[in-house]
Amino acid sequence: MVSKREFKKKAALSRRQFLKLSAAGGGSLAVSSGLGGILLARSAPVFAQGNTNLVAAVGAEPPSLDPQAIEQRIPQMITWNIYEPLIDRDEQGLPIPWLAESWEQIDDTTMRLKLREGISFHNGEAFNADAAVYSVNRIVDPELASQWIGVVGTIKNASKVDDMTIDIETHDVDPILLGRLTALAMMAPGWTEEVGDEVSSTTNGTGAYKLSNWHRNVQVELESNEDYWGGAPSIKSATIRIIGEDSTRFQSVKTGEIDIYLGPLPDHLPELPKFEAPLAQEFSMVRLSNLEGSRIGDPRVRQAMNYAVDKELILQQLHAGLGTVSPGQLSAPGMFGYNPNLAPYPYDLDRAKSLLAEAGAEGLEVDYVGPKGRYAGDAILNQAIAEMLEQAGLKVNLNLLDPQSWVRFGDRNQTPVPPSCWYLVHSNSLFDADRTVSSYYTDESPFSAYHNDEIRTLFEAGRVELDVAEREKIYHRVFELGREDPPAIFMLQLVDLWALTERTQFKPRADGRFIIRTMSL
Amino acid sequence: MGPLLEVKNLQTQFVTKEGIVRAVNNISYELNTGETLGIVGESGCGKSVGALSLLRLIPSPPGKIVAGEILFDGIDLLKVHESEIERIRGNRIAMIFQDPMTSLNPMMPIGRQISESLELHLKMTKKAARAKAIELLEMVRIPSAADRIDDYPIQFSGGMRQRVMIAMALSCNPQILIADEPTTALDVTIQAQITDLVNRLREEIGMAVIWITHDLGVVAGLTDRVIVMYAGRIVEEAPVEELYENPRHPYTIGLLGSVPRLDEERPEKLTSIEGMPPDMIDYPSGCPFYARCTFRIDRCLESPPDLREVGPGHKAACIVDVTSSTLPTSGIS
Amino acid sequence: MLRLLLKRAVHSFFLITAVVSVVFLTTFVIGDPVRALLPAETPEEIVEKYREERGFNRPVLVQYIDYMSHAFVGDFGDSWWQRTPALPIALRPLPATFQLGILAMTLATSLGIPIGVYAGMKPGSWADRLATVTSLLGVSMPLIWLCPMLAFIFAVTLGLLPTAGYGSWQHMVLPTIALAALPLGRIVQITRASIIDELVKQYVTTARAKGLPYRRVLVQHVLRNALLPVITVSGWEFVLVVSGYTIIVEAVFGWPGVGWMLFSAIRIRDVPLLAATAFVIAVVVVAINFAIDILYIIVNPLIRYE
Repeated sequence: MVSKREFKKKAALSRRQFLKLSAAGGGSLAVSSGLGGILLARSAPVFAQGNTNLVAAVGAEPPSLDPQAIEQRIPQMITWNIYEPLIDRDEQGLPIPWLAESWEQIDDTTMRLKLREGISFHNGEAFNADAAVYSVNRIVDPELASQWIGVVGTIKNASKVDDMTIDIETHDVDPILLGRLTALAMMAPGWTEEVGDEVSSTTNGTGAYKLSNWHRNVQVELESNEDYWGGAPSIKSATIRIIGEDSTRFQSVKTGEIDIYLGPLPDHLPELPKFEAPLAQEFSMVRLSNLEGSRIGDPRVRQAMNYAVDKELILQQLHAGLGTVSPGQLSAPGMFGYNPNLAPYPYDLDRAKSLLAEAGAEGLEVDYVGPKGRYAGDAILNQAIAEMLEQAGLKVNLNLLDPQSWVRFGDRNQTPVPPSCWYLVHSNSLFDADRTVSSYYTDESPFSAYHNDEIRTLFEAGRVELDVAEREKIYHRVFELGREDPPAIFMLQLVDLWALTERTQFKPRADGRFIIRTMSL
Repeated sequence: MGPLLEVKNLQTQFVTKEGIVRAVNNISYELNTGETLGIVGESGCGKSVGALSLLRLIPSPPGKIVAGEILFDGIDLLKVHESEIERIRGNRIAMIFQDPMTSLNPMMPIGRQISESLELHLKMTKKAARAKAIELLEMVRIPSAADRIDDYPIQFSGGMRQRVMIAMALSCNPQILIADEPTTALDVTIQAQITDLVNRLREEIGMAVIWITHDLGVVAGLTDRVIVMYAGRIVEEAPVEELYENPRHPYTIGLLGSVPRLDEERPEKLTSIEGMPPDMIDYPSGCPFYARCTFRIDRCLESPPDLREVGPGHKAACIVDVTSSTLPTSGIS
Repeated sequence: MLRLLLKRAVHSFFLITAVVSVVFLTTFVIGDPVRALLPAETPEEIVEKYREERGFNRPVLVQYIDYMSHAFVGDFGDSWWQRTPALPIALRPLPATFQLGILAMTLATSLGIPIGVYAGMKPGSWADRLATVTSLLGVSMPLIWLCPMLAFIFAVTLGLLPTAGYGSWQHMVLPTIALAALPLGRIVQITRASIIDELVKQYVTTARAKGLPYRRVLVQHVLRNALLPVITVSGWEFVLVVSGYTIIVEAVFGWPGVGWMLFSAIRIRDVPLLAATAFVIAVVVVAINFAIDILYIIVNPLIRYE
């Protein structure tokens, strides 16, 4: 219904309408931004970086900043900068004095610690025996339901000896108490009692940083504690931003909007400005069952399986070469009990075949349960391992399951007859063989599927042996035996991947903790 | 004083995928002040398009008025600027349409639809226009006009809606009212009411009316003169009584013959005109009625016949001297 | 009219109840929720303790009734993850989503309607073709591709805007554009179609026959009538924005809104928080629908007479 002349008029009309509506749109924009600005009154725009402000990104909001309640990695990235333990670890992962200066085992179940003087909490409260006793007793208190209980649960209580000395009593002999204390954050009794529930959203520690602002769902802001007993840190402020999508974190580190994040995908590595890949206390393995009802009870079969898998190849192809092949044990240099004399199982298909023949196990059918979506690339990895086992002559019934179901098969409480093979990644934050041995070298834990009388005896002895040298010998022997009667196909020691910008100077710790005061820009 | 409206050689075409449709193919006629002119013809003969052309309401792609002049009060309506025509529409020449339900904006109160023209053309204030609108509704015999001024079209019956349309059209006292089949969609009793209304108003205001219809019955009681259109052309033009008593074009004869009459004996069967109207794209070169004409001769194929005078004020576009008593040239009936 | 609203209110209530119930049921479909919460190697006693604490050892029907009766008064329990009441946690990010949502819809309508009108008035022209193609693109664009693409072009390559985050107007630009893409496309389409429909209607000719200038006919007569379906579509798109598109956009751009909250809650299987968030979103959807219904009744006079 339009002639050419009318066309121009309509153009004008539309423009006018457009302007009118755009004015409305612009108005809304202004109002929204104004509102947004008001909501964020205290935050500075983040995407311009300052020279002494470090920006890290994590994938989820920390549920709480109570260092004793939650044991998840993301909150720990924040809380270990604010709170400190009595004992810390050095570069090799060995315990060193921190808020505790020295210690002494005064009897089988009691350790006496002398505290460092001249330290106070951010709110001014003094760090002394009262604070230390309070902190220890708090974390083992069943009321708190701390997620750390698996680590510090051997502690019975703490008591004050004098102003700067405390005694910690354990339920039984506990040779790894020092290691456990690295997980115990010191808190101020007066403040903690006063704030009650707020302890999850406010902080008060002895560390090099204080919480300056917590913008829910957006970011956590830290500022340096200039009075820090170890000297003011070089990075004056830090922002931990919550960015859920890995691809977004990846883009952000490329533009420099963030300086560091944990866990980039291996595919992204070539494009990152910089990255660090320190070895972690994580051991991938295929747990093998030798319990009653198992088809692979004969140690030769399990040895054959270790020969049949080409771990180097898997390391190169599926882990971008980052990590190392486990040397015939679920341990590594720096972990207590590591046996330096053991060598990794080499890839030897012929040996594998001949061992299987010896044991009369050619064509043996084995069940293999692996996860799908629990670890990065786990499906392909397990398929590769299964194929390699088949090449050696076994018949593998491979079952890749969702994490829920997969876990069920590993738990003997839910699956009394465990599958022959069950893939997992074992994590040992205590740096001590006891953890590993109890979990996988004996049938003590529900997640183990292995029994060996000799090892069992050694394990029980090691549990109560306080002499360090003696204890070490015990575990060396355990691992030696374990290599020949394998509880698993020993796979790889994995790495932590950190993505960084050029300017970020970061030396990762052996225990994987994110400690900002040791970093610089 | 010359004629109020003079249409000269008007040609309107539509561009379609299949070709150019020559909807109005060279028509010319006049309208005098106070006269009622009827334009009759079957569907598709171009009468509506011709009417819309008068006010340049043809949708511009795909339609186009390609030739002619429309002289109104000394101005050629086809040549003036759009704004000029807008001043004339609804003001000096008004138009009403066939289906009042779709012709009124369903979502606007009728009072507003009437006031619009008043405010626009007569520069009335909102209040004054509203009062006048109520008056107009009363004039067209809408009961309780003052209460119904803010009602929506859906709240009126078909006949009442048409009255509203009329009120709207007459609001600015136009000199010409073009009524394009205004009663076709209404039932017979309402039809009579509407035609009476228009007649009465016409006398009161003294305007000229062009009444377009396919219904010969309506034309008889209403008009002064009649134009018969076929295939985009005018085939006959005469004062109304003359046309009925003495049709001089084979088409008109056929039309009249097909109308049942109360005052005559019932014929055995109604005569109908065999065949279909011609293809408007592939337009015949000779007389457009040739294919259906019972009086045709070979010469009819040569060119379309012009209107020639066959009596006082009576023209017919046929080269054969046809009357209702002429015998057909062939045995086609 | 009051009856209509009452009917809608009842309908909405049932809708929200259904949503909350479905969320409850899904926790049983995903497997043992207690085991899902805890690390794989947690000893059995602790698992059992959690199970008892959370009341998972009761029969399902009992759990359901308990759950629903609490949900009815806004008590969704404590978030398993944060250990504080779930509903306040779910409500907190709502303003952020609204910020983006309202901005995006404003953008979509203020651009979409004029473009649609223009295209509808001149169908077949180059402007119309352009509008049709771009609206098709907008509608078929998968957000999961568009968002990283926008970030890649504007943030990584051109360095003009931040890749993610919250805190300044620059952070709002890309997520708003992403959120507005689909609504914009659809609004252009519907407006264009509506205008084309209206323009061929008889009353337009009548209006012109009254001598109204084309501009006036368009605005006073056509636009009003043509915009009716646009209102309903815009309302619907707003609902989709808040309950659907926002999940992806917020996740990719790190925008702390309810979509992101829902996504997180699902990922960490925090059922109370998930239920509370789903509830919040359901209420918002219902509220928007309600508002659109009322707006429609106000704008369309004929509804009252039908």
